[in-house]
Amino acid sequence: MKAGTAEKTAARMLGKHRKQGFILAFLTPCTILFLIVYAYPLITIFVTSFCSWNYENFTAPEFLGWEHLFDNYIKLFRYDANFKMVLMNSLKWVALTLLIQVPFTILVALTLSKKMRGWKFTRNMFLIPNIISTAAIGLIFLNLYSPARGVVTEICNYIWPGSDVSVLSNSKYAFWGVTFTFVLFGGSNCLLLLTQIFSIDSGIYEAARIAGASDWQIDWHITLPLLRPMIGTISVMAANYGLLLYNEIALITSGGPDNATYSLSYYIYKTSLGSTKLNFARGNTAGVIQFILGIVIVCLINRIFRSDTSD
Amino acid sequence: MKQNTSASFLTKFLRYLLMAFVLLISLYPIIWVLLNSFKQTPGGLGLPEKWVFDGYITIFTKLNIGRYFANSLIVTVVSTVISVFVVSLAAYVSARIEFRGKNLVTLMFASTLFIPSISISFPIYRLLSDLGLKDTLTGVIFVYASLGIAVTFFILRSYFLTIPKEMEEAAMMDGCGYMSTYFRIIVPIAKPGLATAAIMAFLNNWNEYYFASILLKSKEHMTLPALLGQFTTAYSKNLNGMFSAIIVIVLPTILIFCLLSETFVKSLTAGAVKG
Repeated sequence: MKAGTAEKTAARMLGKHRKQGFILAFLTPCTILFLIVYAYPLITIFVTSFCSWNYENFTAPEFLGWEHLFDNYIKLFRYDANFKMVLMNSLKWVALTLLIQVPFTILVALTLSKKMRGWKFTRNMFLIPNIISTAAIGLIFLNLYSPARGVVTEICNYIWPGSDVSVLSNSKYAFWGVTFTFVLFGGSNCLLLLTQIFSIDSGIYEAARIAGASDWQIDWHITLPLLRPMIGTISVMAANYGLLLYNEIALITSGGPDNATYSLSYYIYKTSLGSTKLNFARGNTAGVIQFILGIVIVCLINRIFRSDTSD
Repeated sequence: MKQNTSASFLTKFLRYLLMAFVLLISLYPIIWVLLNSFKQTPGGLGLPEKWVFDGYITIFTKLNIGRYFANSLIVTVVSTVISVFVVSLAAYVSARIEFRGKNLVTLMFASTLFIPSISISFPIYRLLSDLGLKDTLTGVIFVYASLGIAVTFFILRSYFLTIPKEMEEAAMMDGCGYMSTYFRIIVPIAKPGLATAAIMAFLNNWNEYYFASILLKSKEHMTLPALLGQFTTAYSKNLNGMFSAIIVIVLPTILIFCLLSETFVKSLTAGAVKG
């Protein structure tokens, strides 16, 4: 009896050892990638945002000292005129994705969900701008907006003869020029909404129709409330895209004219990699701000869309 | 399931109008570039008066775009394979094995979704320079393999959770160890999930521009997106070339998408099925 227990214990211990070895072997590779590419850089940007680190002391960041701990943040918000513009632009893009992209995507998804002729084709084609390279989209719009060869100027001239709009060289239009390179392209979010709509119990729709509800009433009173969590999810993704916007700007305007299209991501790139007087500490501080803003936005959107589950 | 029973003529008309608008904004830019890539001097509305292939000839002979294409393919394939393999191991443990600290591990990988890659790009750039991996395909592969952790992790974890537990229990009864259970039993069952994750990773890595543009500076190492970035300055006189290069970079994605659209559609919804 005793020997049996001992044997079992031994077997269990051996099994436990094996299990631990297995867990370790399976988790280690991914953890290494995580530590090198996420954890170490994230800690670095937090730490160096409290340091002085620029092109003059490239090899050795220096701690600012406790009295001057927040100097980088203070300088960004108070003295860096560009940064205010940058922050405003990025927040505007976040707002515009939520105000334009999300409602537009919902409208398209509701329309396609009626399964009229060509709905599947439209759904698939709507995905194309999302699956091709944003670098390519940037170049395409750079050409479409070009007064010499693009079509936008030509179309504007047709509507307002003699207007000769040059979208990208005018600081008033350039912001919108960049906005429209991405703000209507909600194809993959539309797909998520559609999948969710089709998973709704069709019995609900039949009951509503028997009760004499119109399509609009059904969409408004049944489908939209049931889509609420998914609308939250796509809002997070859309807002994130607006906050992180980089490729379109790098390829189309480089932040210009007059900083009208300068974004947070482009500022981080410029400050720590793309100018002559590099300031790594400041670039990393902007990175910390972008990271925190992202989390705040996600939390806010989750609160709005998931707070009352009673609906 | 037909739903369009109670729609009036006007409603139907408006719906078709919206669908036409969606098709217009999605397809027109690419069709415009395609048509203009065959013009002597690209630009304007309308069809080419004379169809020329100068742009394509230039980029294949003088620009040697085959090289960039090969770089893109190597970087994308290798980083996708590494990423899916490595993350699948972690996702399996997180989905299926009970151990202390499991929630912490899951949270750790999931949290990468909320770390913007540009915010942390400078330390990554520095680290790769210190390791001598700047301007190498290896460096870019390493970054790409890691950037996809969150998406791959979510897709694979939710797939592993759908596999019945009895599968593993039966294998264990037959004396399979953990390792062989995973590689012999789970991987074959999880093939559709792995394919989904691979498609998503492939798309993201094929299209990635930011890290390619800051890390790859020499011509022989550039990927296609990095090359496109060069066109805004260096090649702006070579308009035919620019238009043709855009087509060369988007064509593979669109072709594969048209051939496998149902698989794509499933892949794109995989990570977020239940919100």
